[in-house]
Amino acid sequence: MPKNTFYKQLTSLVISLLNRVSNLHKVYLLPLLFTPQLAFAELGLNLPEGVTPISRDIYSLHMTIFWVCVVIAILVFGAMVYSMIFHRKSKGAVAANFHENTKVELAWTIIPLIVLIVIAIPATKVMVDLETTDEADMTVKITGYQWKWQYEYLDNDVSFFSSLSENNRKEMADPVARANAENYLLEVDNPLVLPVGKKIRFLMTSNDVIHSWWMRDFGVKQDANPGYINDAWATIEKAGTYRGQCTELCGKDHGFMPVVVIAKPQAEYDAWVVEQEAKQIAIAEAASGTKTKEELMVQGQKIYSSNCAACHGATGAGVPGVFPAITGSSIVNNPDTAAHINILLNGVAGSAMQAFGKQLNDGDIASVITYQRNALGNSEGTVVQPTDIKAAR
Amino acid sequence: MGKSVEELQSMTEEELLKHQRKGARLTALIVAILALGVFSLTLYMKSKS
Amino acid sequence: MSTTTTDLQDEIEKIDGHDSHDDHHHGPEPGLLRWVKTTNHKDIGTLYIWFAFSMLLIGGAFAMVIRAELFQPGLQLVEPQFFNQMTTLHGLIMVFGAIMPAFVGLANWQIPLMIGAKDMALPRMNNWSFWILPFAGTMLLSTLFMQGGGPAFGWTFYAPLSTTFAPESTDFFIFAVHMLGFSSIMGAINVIATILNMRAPDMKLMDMPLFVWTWLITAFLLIAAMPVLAGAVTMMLTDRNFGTSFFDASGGGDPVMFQHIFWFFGHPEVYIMILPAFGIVSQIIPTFARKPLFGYSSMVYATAAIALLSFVVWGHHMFLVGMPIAGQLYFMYATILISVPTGVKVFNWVTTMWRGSLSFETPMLWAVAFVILFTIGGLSGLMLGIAPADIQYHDTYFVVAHFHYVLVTGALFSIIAAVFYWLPMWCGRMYNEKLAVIHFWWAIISVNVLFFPQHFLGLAGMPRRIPDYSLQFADFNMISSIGGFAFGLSFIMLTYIIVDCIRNGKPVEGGRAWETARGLEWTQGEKAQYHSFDTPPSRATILAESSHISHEGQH
Repeated sequence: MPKNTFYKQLTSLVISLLNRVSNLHKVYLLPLLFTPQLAFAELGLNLPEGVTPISRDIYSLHMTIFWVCVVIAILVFGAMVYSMIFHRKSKGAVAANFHENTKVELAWTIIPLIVLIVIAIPATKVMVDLETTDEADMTVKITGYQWKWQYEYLDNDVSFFSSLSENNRKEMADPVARANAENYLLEVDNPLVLPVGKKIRFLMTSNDVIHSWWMRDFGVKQDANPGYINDAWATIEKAGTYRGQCTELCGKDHGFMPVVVIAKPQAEYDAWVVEQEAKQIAIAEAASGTKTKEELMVQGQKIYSSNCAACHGATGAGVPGVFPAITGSSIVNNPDTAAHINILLNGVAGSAMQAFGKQLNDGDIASVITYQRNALGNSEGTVVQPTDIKAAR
Repeated sequence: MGKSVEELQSMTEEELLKHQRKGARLTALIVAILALGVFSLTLYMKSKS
Repeated sequence: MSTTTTDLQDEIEKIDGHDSHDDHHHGPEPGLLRWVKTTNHKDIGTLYIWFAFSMLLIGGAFAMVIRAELFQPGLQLVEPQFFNQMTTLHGLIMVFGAIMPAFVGLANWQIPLMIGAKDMALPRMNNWSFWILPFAGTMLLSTLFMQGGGPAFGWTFYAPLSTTFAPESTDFFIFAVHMLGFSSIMGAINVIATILNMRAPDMKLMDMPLFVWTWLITAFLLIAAMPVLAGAVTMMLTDRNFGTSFFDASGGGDPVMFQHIFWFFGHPEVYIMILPAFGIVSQIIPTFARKPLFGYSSMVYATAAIALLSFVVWGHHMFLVGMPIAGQLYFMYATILISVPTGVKVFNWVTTMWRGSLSFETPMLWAVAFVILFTIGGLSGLMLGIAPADIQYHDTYFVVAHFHYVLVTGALFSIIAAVFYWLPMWCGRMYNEKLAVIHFWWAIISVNVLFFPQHFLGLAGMPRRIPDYSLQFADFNMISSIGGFAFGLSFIMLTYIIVDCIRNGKPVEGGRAWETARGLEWTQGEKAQYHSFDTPPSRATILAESSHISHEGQH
């Protein structure tokens, strides 16, 4: 890394720290004494309260245990520090000789037990509340893929994939863009849109490895396990944009599969659903018609960079021993397209190669096959049309 | 095994070592079988489920 | 007894004694082969500790790569796949290569000395358990150079990321884990046999120093936990290579079952890495408080209680995998229950210091730091144990901060404390106290700069195991990285202090290194002999050297 960037970074760190310290006086001590949790959140030191009943419950539980821990720490460390100061040999302290006291030992076994029971009661209440996922107004099924999310609205004909935004991808490569990025690594192409004030049930599952869907402001984090379905719920109280991330290590791009939710008032949400349903029909229609090679190549490059590049590399080189190369691949360069179409539609069982037949429409698959055959160092020449894919399905 | 402290104390260094080693081998055997048992149980339980 | 028989016995003993004198009192074999062939518990202990130290440096180097990449947002130094290999190997090397072997090394050195035994019960197996380690460690590290790279699925290697989706080198990783587990089991068998059978005839179980007690209990944990790990990796092996589907949902298996099996091993493993630390601190604090250990028997019972509870709480690592509510509530209650016996131990240490006559030589500094920082880790552990709150903490940097407080400022600090405490006895030389104190303060400040901000990062929403992060996490990550580099540097100083002590340290003169230290290990004069306790110590010696009974009027 260049030297000046380092120093620049370091100075900005020092400045921001100083700002924080002065903020401590301004923000923390004076006006916000009445709402201390706000000050904590602003400094980025504590959990935010969130915008659902559950996230609020968790927050107050969190603060309760935190203060219990603080009190215990003060008692234990207080006693230690006291004896470290006053019972020093260098101060002439003479050692006592006691080494047991049944009463004291019983007391510090029983008192913590009582404290624990006192904590366990509210914790149990919240736990029961968390698990009450029935009587939901709507259901969204969330499926984890390496490395994107699929959202299916089970009450409507809406379903789409959500992956790291093009913008964020550019910022990853460009330090200048990154420095001014507002939501670096926390933006997606298609956010999950949800209505405010409705009890929403989430179903989580996965297509490949274990992922975990986390929306901190909702108090929802749940593992998405392949072959199994988990559930959680939320009632969002405030419209807005909320951001989170995958929290279970799911392979190479685990750090690059954000979760973005836009909460809208009911009327706006309903309009959005109608719009989406129309859009999906239009896309499906557009995908089936015959296209020129140029159209396919342009579309194919987009599909490649959002679906294939994570493993097979932006240049098609792959990762030796883990992800095969596209460049020079015998499947890609074989004039018979059957194997190529098959591997895209059905994936390779027992490997990281997904079955894209479930994820992409005929037009997308045709275009990405055409792209792979005529770019990334390959020049096989065949143009595959959506009708070919339809026939192969 | 099962010798009193007096008996143990009256032993020579060699006898004591021999006695201790005999017990140690038995203990080691029992513990090793225990470990093998846990291993087998893990596989068995999983293949059942 | 008649005079003649006594004479005869004396004579036999003299001959025997003479024989065994010839037999045992030659020193170590000259040359490097000594270290390959040795069956001496002190040699093997030394080997273990140096092996652990070199692994600590390697695992530390991986940590430096991680902290350097996280120094600022963006991908600067490494690719995400390599970053995952670093986090995985950092965890594996530190757990299986550094902390566990270091404790086994301390057990090898100390247990026979503390119970008045000549050696470990099974010296040849002892040699074997050590020499498996370098091969297993090398095999594990060699995966980094294989095509596709090393394991990149986290030290917890959750299926199916570690089975269907793993690099080819994973089979080497599995074999290495098998070997490490085998070594640990053999070590544990040896410890159990030594403690149960080789004690001085006059030493009852409740006479044993707490370090011996904690290791006995740890050894049983190893015996019950390591075979489960071996079972888990065996199933992985067959899933990967022989067409089974233990953990593959599409073949009727269950990926969540992997986590149940792993954590059934994994949680006791956590206590395997902390119980011997409790033992060490319970030896050091009475020495420098000049006061017997408070509540010896409650310490023993608390340790046993922690060990038993450790087998029934594994589900708290899995609150989010979708357990039924009854399971989650049960695991929450059982988990927070562990804080009762753990609290008893902390209170006992504090009370041992209370009204003592404290001095703060280096081992005591590390022991006190252990008690304070381990308690912080324990309290954040209590927070994590509350199942609903865990939703917000799980798999974030809050967890990273928690287990580093427990394992670095807990387990590792206790090992450093033990080395400073016993090194003068092991080599008969004193380390440079001034340097050691500077090193202590350097390490203690940097380690907190390193790990404390990670609590904030976790609460602010940063997931663990990510190579790049959003800008709002930038400040604390940079602070943490700076602390990390400083803490990393402190180990260069530690290396110097230790090597300097062994080579140039001032000889310990006139008795034991710490005048107030009690324990049979200190009865050999200024320096540990190559062979100790030809004659087992007497009851009087055992009682006089007890660090947990009152010695009023015996001075």
